[in-house]
Amino acid sequence: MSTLDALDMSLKLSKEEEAERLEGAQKRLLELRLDMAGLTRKDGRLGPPLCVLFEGFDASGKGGAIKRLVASLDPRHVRVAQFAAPTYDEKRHHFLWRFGPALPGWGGMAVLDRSWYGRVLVERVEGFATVEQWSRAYTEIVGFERTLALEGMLLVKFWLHISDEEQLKRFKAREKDPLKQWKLTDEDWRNRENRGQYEEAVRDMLEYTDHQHAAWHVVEADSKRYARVKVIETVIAEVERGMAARGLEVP
Amino acid sequence: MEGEGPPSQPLLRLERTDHEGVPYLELVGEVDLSTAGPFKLRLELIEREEPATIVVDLRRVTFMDSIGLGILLAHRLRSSKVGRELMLIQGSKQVQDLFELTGTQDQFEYVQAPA
Repeated sequence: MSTLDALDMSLKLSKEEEAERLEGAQKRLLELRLDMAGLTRKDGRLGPPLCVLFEGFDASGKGGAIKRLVASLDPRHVRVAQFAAPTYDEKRHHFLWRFGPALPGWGGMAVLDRSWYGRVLVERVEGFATVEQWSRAYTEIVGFERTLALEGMLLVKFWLHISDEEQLKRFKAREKDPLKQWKLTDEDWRNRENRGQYEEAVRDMLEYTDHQHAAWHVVEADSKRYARVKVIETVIAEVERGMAARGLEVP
Repeated sequence: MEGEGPPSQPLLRLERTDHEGVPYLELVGEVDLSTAGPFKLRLELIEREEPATIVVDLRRVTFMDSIGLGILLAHRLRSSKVGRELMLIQGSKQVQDLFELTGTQDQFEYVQAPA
């Protein structure tokens, strides 16, 4: 994990370099994905469940990064799930309950666009969870992730970090783009006003939920190109490392 | 969870109050491995306000083991480096025995509970 303060937000890639590295990475991920699904392995063994989780400020590029991550994969081989505010019915349950069905099984892969970390981010800052609830959630989440990892799951967690200025620029661009206007709501503008509180919550999240079974990967996302390449290359490295650690031959 | 009934009693409830400008953190319940996280975090949240003194009230602690002691000692060490005082309000015999058995009772300063 890297801390927010140590990030070099000026990291970027040229269009050509992005295209070249994305192409190579997408091909490699497809190869690994088919292997983990047991489709190209001689022994037909299923690989570990792969769960890639995304958190990030509004307009930090989660959607774009996910799109590139799954671009080369067959839709039958990956499931992308988005999580917004819990519904009335979901709020009747334990906060982790609604994520269960989205989790992958052996040989499977899931991508979560926001996740259980909402408890210690938006729910903390907006007061939807009490201080009692969110302050113990760090321990609860680490415990939850540990049980998943000990059952074999490979959990790759991303925080996509954008600067205040870059976010404002993207909001303004979204406002003008008829195909992206729908992405911007009054709530997004309101959240911007609480940037300081959100940053404190992000720092706590990175500190208290970074553990050996599921480390955080902080991505400098002021450049969309850089972020997209870093995300997919990190997933590949984590899959290769995870397979080797589980005694599986890495193709 | 949002239900009609009251939430279940947590193992450890942490109550933050202020008396004459001094932040107090009252611990109600058990301090062990399962409740150490919230305790540590709540202490850190108060630290970020950079008060000159923090008081931890142990009167209503029903159980505390070495985890709780470790958090208090670590906090005291951090505090002394930045000139902050950590004061305790004495707990039950079980809690005070822990300090005595580990020879750490002199590491802390004690205050009377506010009226």
